Amino acid sequence: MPSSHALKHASDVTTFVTDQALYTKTLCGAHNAKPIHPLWFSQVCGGSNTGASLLQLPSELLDHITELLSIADLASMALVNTACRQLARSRQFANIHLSYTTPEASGIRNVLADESAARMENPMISSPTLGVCVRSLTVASVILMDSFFVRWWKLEDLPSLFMPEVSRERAIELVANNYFDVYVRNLSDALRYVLPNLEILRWEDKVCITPELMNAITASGVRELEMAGVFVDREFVVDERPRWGLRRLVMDIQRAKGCRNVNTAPLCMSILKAAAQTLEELEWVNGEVTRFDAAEFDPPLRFPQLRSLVLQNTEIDSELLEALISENNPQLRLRILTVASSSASEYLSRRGHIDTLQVYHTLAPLSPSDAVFIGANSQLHKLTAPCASDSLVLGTLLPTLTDFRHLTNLYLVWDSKTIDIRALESIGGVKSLTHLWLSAGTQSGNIHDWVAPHDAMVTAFCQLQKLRVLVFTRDTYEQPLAGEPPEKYYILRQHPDGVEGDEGTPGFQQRSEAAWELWHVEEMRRVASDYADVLERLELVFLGQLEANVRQEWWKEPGKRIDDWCFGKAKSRAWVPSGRDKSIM
Amino acid sequence: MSEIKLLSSDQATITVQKEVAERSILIKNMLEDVGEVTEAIPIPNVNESVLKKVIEWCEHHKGDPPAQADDDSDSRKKSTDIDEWDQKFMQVDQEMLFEIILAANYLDIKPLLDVGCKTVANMIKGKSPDEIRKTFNIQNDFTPEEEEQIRRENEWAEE
Repeated sequence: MPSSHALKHASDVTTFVTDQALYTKTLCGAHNAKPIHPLWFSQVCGGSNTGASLLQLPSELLDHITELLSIADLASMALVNTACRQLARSRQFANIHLSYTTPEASGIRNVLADESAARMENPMISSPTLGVCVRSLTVASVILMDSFFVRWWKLEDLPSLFMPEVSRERAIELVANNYFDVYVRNLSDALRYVLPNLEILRWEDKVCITPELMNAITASGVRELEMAGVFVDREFVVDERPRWGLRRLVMDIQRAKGCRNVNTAPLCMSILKAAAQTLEELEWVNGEVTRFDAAEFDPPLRFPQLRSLVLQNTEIDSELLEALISENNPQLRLRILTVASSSASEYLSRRGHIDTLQVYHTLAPLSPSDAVFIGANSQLHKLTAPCASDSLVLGTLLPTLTDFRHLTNLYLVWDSKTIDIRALESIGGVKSLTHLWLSAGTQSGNIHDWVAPHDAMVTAFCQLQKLRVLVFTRDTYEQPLAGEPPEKYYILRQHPDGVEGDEGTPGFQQRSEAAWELWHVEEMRRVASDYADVLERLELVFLGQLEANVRQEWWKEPGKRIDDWCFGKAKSRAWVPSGRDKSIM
Repeated sequence: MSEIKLLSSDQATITVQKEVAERSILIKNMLEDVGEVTEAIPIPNVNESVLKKVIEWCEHHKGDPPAQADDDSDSRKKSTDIDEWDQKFMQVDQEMLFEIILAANYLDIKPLLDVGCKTVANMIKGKSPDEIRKTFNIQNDFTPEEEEQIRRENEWAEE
């Protein structure tokens, strides 16, 4: 019987308190986003509409008709005549995805390059083009050096044929640089000259962005810009664009490998400055602006249209934060806020209550300022906080949370190897929780030094009757055999009864590992069952590096519950997140 | 059953049941705005023959349940299935077909507009470029080189 409480995706473990999904949906999954609507025929025909009464129909009706056609029908239509071709193109190329690893994308890029060249030669040219049909453009390539270059460039032969004096690796680099320069230049020209109706640009490419490209973007008519994990290998700023008109910006700009000294702040700030007047939504990921002097901006930097701000893994100066979420902007709808600096926390503690805020993550160890700010925002739905000081957590944070009636998701991580039982009891009093994630001890490397006190936690959490997801990470357990510390639980993998046979004999290691694995799963199954006994709505438990899915429709049958725990082994690093891992912050 | 009069662009007066005429959202809103009307309502964009045809469709469909406004799923959008009566109704010359579509658009009769657009889409679906040209009497203005370029371009288009 299929369960209505289906297994949560692996990503839930890392996202359930962090809104990581927001990022992955809008950025990494960008090309899967709902396509933008194509333009009407009259907007793309470029004077090519002649003859047939079909094409005399109003554009919105032609749009209604072509909407019903398959890709094959559109291909046929494109071959009918110039006007029909443009009508088909308005659908065929409304949403395009460029990658230099596919011939399709190269073809489109070449067409755009030809159209750019024609436009540069004669700006008044008005023939129907492909570029005019494009509404959203995703630029995302996967660099597969071997498959791609061997396939498209026959590079294996290159060194000996053309560059016998350089190594194969150097030859690849030379050709790649040349190719990327052409590629980026083509797209820059296209953005400047032949994509007048482009609404959304998603730049996910791993080729370093250049000043030329960034200036082309700010010179374009793009209204929504997503820069998802793009790289820069030098410092630069974009030209000022008083009429850019950007409404939505997702900005994740990182320094390229080997460019440690490159500071991304000047570029990010110049983009923000160029967009400030019109920006409505900002999602800033992996940003770092530690020095910001508001006095340097004349007129002052303000974001009068800003409605939504997500600062994810982004550390910014408090004055910049103040400029972004100025109290002078009564329309601001700040929903999610992630801060990672004490100065930002201090500003927020002075700012106090922010009515629309639902999600607050602090990445730096919880400070008194954080506690003040959190306390002033009892409407919060989700909260993440690293807990360094027991007195602050016990004395201020946790007593406050019991009054948070909307708090559903809580992620707390202690830097000590133990969690005070009083803290666990306080958490057990936050009855609105549906998702709880706890961790303690070392948060990086293959070190697990938090002996999870499950018996105490089962008792402490028995009042959390809305809890659906319960996650423990970096948890470890006492060794079944005496003499070894819990830190080595996952390393030694000792079965309490040992394994038959002599160490060193063929297959012993594998049999030993398999026996431990079975025993460990049974142990975790037992612990998870203890939680399920007291928490009626529990759907998923993650513990001991295992995921336990409670299929509620089955487990209600007496005697069947244990077998219906569905255990799966941790499949990726995401299951065992470290405290410094960006993916969980 | 109350009746109203419609005045076509070529000055013909047609009497129609109010309930039937109200399949047109334009007329329905107009009647709601002005209340009782005794004079003929002018429909300046639609001639008599087309207006009669549109009224014929409205009479047949007067008891239809209202359309699901929020059903915009892809499968529904792509479906060009038309019921049998509507198929026969749409067996008219092309000029009349386009006139009906324009009238449905002007009068805001969405289900009729849908049937019209589906009929045109079905005239394109599964046909070669040459068959489409013949169907709609369109002249080919491409050189062989351009055709070759378009065939390549078609391969790059995404679903």
